[in-house]
Amino acid sequence: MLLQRTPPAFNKLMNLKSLLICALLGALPSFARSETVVKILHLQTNPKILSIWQDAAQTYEKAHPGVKILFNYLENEAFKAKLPTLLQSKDRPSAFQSWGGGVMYEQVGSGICQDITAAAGEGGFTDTFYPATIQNFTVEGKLYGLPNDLAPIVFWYNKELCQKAGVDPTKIQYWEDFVDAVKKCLAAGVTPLAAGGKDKWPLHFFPTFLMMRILGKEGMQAVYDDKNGGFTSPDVLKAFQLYKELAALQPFQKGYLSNTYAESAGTFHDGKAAFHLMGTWDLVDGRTNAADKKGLPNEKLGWIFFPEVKGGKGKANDLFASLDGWLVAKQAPPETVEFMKTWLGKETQTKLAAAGVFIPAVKGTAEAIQDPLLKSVAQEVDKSQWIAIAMDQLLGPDTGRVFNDASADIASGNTTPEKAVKTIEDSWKQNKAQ
Amino acid sequence: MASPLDSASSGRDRSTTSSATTRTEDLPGLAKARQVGPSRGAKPTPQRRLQDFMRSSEVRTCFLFLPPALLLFTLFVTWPVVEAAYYSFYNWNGYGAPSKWIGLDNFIRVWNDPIFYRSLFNNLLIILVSACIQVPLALALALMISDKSRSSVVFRAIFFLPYILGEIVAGLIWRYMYDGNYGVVAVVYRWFGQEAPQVLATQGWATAALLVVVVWKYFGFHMALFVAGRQGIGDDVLEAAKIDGASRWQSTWSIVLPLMRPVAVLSLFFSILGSLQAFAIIIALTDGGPSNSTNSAVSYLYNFGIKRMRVGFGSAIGVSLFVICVLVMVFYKRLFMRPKEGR
Repeated sequence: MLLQRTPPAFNKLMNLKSLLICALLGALPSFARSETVVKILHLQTNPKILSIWQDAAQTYEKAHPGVKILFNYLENEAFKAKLPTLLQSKDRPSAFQSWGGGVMYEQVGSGICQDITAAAGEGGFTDTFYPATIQNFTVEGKLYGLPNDLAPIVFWYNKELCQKAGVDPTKIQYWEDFVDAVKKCLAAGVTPLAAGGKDKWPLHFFPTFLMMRILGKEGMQAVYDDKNGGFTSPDVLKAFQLYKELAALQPFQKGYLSNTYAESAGTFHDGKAAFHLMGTWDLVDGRTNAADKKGLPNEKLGWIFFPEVKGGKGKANDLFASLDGWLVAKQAPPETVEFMKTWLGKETQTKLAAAGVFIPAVKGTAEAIQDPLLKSVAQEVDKSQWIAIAMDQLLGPDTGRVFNDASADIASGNTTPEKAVKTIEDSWKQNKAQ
Repeated sequence: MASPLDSASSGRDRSTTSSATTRTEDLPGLAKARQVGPSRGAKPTPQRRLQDFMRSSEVRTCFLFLPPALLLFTLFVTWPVVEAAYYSFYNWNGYGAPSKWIGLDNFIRVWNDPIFYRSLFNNLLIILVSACIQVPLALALALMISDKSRSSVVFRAIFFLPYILGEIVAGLIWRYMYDGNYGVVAVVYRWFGQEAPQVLATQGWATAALLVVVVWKYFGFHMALFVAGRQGIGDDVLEAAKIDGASRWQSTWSIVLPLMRPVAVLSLFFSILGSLQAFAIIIALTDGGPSNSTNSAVSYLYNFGIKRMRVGFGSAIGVSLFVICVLVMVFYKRLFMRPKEGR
């Protein structure tokens, strides 16, 4: 009541509130104010990676007295929810985890990111990364961040189960071949696919891949730009229909709609499903979810590209990858990019490659990878003409989730491809209008 | 001023509140009086009354204790509500200041969303199940084990246990139990040589499963309320009934139950409150799935507002919920919580 009647008090309260927040947030780093602090906000929990990062930070701190590197951790969902507030607070990080795509466009559009084209381009540092990964952090010709790693999504397969079902995955070239393989598995009593339907994003890989294979790079760009009917175009509809036909065979493990990614990875690595469409992180994260914590050994595991669709414009080695990197915040000190040259430089990244936890975005690191399976995927990165990122990243948090919902709903039979593409298009139009 | 409900509070409290209210209401009149000049009469002048009022130790205590509470309440309760109402008129993703005014569009989107109604329906289901199953169950158990014998104490502790568990923990435990491949449900079905249903992956079943967990989790709490209510009924009443020749069943039906009506009203009130707040247990158990069929109003807000970074849309859901909550509470108070005559 008081608030509505007297606007001055209203403003005072607002000031009071911001003062309080500043005081609370300011209290934290105040004891380290004498030096430049580079704060990096990350989601990493792997101790191997963290220790190599820490080494890089120490090396840099020794060479540059007066600079302190701080790695701050946030859990994934908390990170996504808190980031907008954090970035606009006093305690904003200098660099933070990003997957590019729609969320990044929103962040860049609101002016909270720093144009680092010149700073990072100095000495040709930008050119040490795979071009496609740099492209992922470029908006209208300006670079706002640097890539960390990429995890291509491929069909992993269980050699024993495929043999049991009489399927030779290496012979799968077209989508029809894959559908045949699924049918053979079903006939042999083998669960063809593992998928985490509760999380929804593992299912969204299927329609996204089919879209890539049918539409090709230009076609996908046109959909993104909402040309030719956008998501309601016949080609997109066809992708969703093919996905629906696959789902109608009931190829997934029982109860997949209530399983998370971790549970479905466990299913695959316990040797209970023949195929698993998943990123390269499955070799590490997936295995730890197996009942024996080890999962399928390399000799029982193989991988193939997502097959082409006959008459489609996309190629089998057009990669679809999860691409991680770091965006630099507006008021970040120049030391941030300087440190990145050590941290994301070839030397540190080669160590990370050797540790076998991911595929760094730096060229020439693939050879250092010890794991033969991960290495063979990494070697394809250089040959690929195009690396697409996940739809739920590209389309932003809103339409991205609508796409994921549609993917799960088609699989469960709760919606039709026709309705699904319309829902996605409606949401996309609404977002584009923003 | 003091509502009949206040009669429950102690006499001293009541005199404090009522005197404070009347005095404050006098203030505008006081200002006028000051302009005219102090009037000379037998009664103390308003100015004098104010001085007395300000000097009284009760008021000083008020001035000491009120600001922190008022400030916190304004900052963390009133202010966010006002802010949410403000954001709900904007198309805003949380970056920068909200600038795209879209009028009532957010509200129209919420009110046209079938998932929103499905979520409200689930809230209603939770209330219905609470009223029809949970509260009677809790009451029946309470009547059985409200005495002070050792076995009753043990059973009370056992029945109260689920309520102590965190909601997330309870949700996760039941997620494993329901699992159609490895869970308890699967094992039980296998005993009978049957293939277990995938409870949480099937629409309808998932909602039923959620309701079971809600009843399991909270009946102990309601039981505790009823036990306290039952123990509050004096032995003299029951003894009198016994002397009059009432059977155990008769005295339960005609004396204990009517006397426990206020507890039942309170219990139902908590059920409604709990339903309106249902969140963590849903996130842990189903995350609103499959196909958004098990969301509650709050988890709908979280999944469609916060997770998708649609702050304006989320605020519109929040404001809608706020209105619904206020309406529910007002009507509930009117319908059930009016004190009976003779209290």
